Amino acid sequence: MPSENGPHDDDVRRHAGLAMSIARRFAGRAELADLHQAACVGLVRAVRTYDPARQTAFTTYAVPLMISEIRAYLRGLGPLHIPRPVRELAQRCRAAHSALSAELCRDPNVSEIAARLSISPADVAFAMDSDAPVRSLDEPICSAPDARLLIDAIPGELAPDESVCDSVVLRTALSRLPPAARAVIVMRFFEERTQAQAATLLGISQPQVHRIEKAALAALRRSMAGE
Amino acid sequence: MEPKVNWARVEFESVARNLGFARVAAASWAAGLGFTLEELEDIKLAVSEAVSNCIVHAYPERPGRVLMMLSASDHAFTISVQDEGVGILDVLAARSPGVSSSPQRMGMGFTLMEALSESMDVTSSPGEGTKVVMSFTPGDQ
Amino acid sequence: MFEWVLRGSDLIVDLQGELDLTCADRAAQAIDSLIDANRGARRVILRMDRVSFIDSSGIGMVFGRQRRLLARGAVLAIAGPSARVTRTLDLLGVSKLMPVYVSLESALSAREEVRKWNPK
Repeated sequence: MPSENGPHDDDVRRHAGLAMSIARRFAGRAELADLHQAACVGLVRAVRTYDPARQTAFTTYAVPLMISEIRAYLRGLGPLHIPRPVRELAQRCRAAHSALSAELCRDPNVSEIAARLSISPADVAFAMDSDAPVRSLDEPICSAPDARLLIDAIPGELAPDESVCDSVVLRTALSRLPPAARAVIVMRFFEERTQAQAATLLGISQPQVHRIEKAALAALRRSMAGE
Repeated sequence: MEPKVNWARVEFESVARNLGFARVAAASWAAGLGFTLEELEDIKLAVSEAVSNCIVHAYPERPGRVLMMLSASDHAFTISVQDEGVGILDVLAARSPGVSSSPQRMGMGFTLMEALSESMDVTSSPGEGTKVVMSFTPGDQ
Repeated sequence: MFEWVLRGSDLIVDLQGELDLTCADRAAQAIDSLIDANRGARRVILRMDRVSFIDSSGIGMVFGRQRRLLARGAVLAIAGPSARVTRTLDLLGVSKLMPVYVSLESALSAREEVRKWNPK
């Protein structure tokens, strides 16, 4: 924390480790040294403007400033740090793709795009791979002042990963069921409703739901076993 | 004069970091075979699924070796992705979308590979590894 | 990483980059924490304008979040997927299981959808 007359440099030095730990949270998005530097810019700003009378811990005050500096830095780089020559090449590939599409009245193949630009097809593939989609709208939502980084919400300890995506696994099997059976399965297991709730929604009796469910589960099991 | 048959092999550790590399390597190599950019994207997706399976399923304990073979003849492009991992006991069951061997992404992965490629073949034996072979033909959309 | 914002009962998460095995777990944990921290949100919109690639690991991550949200009476929606991402979503029939909007704007103007997709 800055003392009344202490040199700011000391405070900055004291919290250099914090700046590095913040920078590390963005590792992979740019060079760590650059991220650290951006964090330090935020740190310097924090040291200069921190007011102990506010009763907030210095770190609480400084961390958002460091993050916002890093974000500003990353914004300047674009969504991913792609070297400018590659980005320019991707632009030229897109332009050649559009021009050739119009000329040939079909989707040109990669060799044709490469020939137009006098480069190798592999270069086209590589350049297009680095070509992240361009935001078409002017960031109407997430450039809002109340937008925050998702990373701030990540807790220290990681939750055990659950197994996911049974929805799609079931989809094919489900699609083979008659509509009523499908509706019952979706309500019971996908939406976690009771049989009584499903009965009300479907306008049938609860024993009927029970029977349909039983038959549908058996059919699903058969279907999933590849029968 | 281009050779009639051309091939390349790429070997790498089964870690997520190599996933993007495997995609781009396959796409760059296949780029001159007459595919459109769209088709190259399909190839990348298929490779991503095959290699993800190696990372997640073949070597659940520690990373192992993944061998990606690329070959081209008369404008037919074939990718094989091979591991020396745990193998799949029942290949047919694993390919059906209903199977739930650990994370059920596997069913989706095979569904995608099948949809994206012109043909897909899976051979596997428990304890010895799995090999997925997919073929792609330009203009096959 | 991702940016997010809460607008009324909509939690908008701005995803970017390649959603594959490399980041699916991290994204899942991050989005779950967000969902937990914003229990008032009735709808979570995953904005995908800047997602350049998605495979089954990414889709699995999306379905996992959807399942959690459905259980608490909220819904998940996808907004603004690129042509590339749309192709993958289509191959897996994602739009049959959750709303997919061409843009964030159209997602935001379709509020009545919450009840349709999760009539709890």
